[in-house]
Amino acid sequence: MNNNYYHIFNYKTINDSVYGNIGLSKIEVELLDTRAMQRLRRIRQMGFSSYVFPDGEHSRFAHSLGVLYIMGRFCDVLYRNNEISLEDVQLLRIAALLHDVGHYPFSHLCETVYSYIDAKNNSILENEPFRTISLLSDLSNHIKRKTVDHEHLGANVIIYDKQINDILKANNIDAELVGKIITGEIGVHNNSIVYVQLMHSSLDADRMDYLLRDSSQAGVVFGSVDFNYIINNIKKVKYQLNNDNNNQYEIIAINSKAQHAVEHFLMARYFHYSQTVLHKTSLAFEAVAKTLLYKMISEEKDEFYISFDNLVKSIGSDKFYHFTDDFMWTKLKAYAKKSEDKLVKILWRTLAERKKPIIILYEKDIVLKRKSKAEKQSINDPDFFLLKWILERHHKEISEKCGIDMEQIGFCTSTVNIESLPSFMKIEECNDLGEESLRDAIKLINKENKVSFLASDTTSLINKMVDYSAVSLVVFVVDPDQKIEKGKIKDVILSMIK
Amino acid sequence: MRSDLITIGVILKELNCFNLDSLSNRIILQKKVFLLQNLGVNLGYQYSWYVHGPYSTELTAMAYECIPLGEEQFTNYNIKENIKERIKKVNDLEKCEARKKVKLDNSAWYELLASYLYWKKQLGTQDKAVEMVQITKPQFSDTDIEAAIQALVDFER
Repeated sequence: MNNNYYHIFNYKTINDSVYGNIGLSKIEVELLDTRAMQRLRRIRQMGFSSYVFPDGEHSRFAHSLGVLYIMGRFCDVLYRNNEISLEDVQLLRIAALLHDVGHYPFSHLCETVYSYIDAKNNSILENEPFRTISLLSDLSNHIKRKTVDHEHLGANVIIYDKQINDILKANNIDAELVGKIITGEIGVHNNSIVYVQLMHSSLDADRMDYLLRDSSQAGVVFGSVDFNYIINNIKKVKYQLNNDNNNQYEIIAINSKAQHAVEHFLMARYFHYSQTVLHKTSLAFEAVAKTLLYKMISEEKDEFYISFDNLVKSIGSDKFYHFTDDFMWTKLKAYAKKSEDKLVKILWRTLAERKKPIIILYEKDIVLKRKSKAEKQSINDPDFFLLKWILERHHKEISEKCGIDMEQIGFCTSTVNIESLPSFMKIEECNDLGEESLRDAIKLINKENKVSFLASDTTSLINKMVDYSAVSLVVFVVDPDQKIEKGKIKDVILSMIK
Repeated sequence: MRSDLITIGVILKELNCFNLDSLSNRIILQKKVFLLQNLGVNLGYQYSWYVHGPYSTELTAMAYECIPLGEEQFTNYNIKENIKERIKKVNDLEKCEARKKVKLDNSAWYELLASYLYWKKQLGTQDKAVEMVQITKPQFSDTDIEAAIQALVDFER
């Protein structure tokens, strides 16, 4: 690597607990000093996971630097092999640094609340349908709308924040393109998937850093993967899909000699998700926080934070830069104090005093994915699905039989996949079932330069596991006084299964 | 049932695309929802360009969750009048006058309409959008593209 390259990206260095030193270019230092980036110091990376893993208190700011570091390492390899220009190295590093600049407070849970609000504000129905499950449950299981996620808010920050936009303009960097890389638009930038793939795929800079950083901070050991070996084995290749004669896509593939390191990474991520991110107690606390936030925000009329659109309008004003975890805690405290709603008081005490929600049931299973073509031997536990079915349809009945307000009972289902693809999907057969696969799935390249999906490689352990998902279901009750009889509720639910 | 599932279930049912059985049906589902969102119905799906034109990963995931529940689960809901009108507009695209001038099956027709509209939104002008459709979708003739533009004039009005 030439001297110039080294100097550009080591204009300043910052100490980091995971990687040691992180080198920064002059533009990156300027971006780091903007108010929008500094806001991320006051947003925690792991949300309410820190209620279970107390050391998980690090910020989105530190994570953003980590993603920049990993992206820088990807770019070093691609640049050394003449597969990427110096301009693109800078573009990708900036996208990595800014990828969370639009993050909502409280990690990802606030994003769900804004998505839920967006869905309500744009309801297609005349009347709000009668809710058969508690708000806790509806919010816990709500699938986020991409169009109001933190990446889309970030894309807006990059365009409307004057400080950021001026820095990008002065350095001839296309702000809109940076936004598109962050939001993950497929096929952006001259049919090259490389840009979005390094930010949005099963093996991207974001995932790599959060696995290493979050597991290290949480004190779990799953995250020790050989990321250096994986990064050193990436390669840019051109690939033409069978049914798309007109376009050749540039994609990132990994030399097949790093296959086992990649498999280890996927397994580590699987354990990290199932044990840390989706820990049953964290999920219950997050459900409580989502419900309280939703109740507060939806009762406000004029505040800048009542919707995604209002937040976008506030970019550039002081208000937006105060939109942090602390700000939301202050607002929640004032709201809970003022509110006469019994449920609000319960939710607030649960959160503020860390009164652990009572876990009534926690069920797990490994199930066959719906899209898979694997042998349809029934391995799925019928009780798991029956329990889910009963909770979705008999929420009220359960609450009546137990004598507890339905709104205090919540359930949350979660799914962890090793890879998104089914095992039968070969790269040569990419059709609509694998639309996203060219971007998301891990591609290997062998000595003969043949590209394949790791998931469809029959010699890979991942191939044997990829048709299955780990699913879990947690049923909980919020009661800060801890007076509710756990056994009684459990018996009521289990008697309905029988 | 979850409120997000109710929304997508009702929409797919009204768009007559409560079906994932074949590639054609999946294409129609994707493109009809894309066209509906372009009429200002905010369902929150992000679309990106792919082999068959605009495509949303999240919509596929939601459809796979919702459709196995059965169409009958989504019958007793009252849709807002302005949404109903827009759904009708999307459904009417398959029987409009312009459609009769071309020999395309329904999935190809909706793929062409959605692809043209996608490029028009991205690039801003009709000429540029036509050029991109010609490059990315060479299977469609100039007559097909003309018919699509004509159909979309009334559609967007």
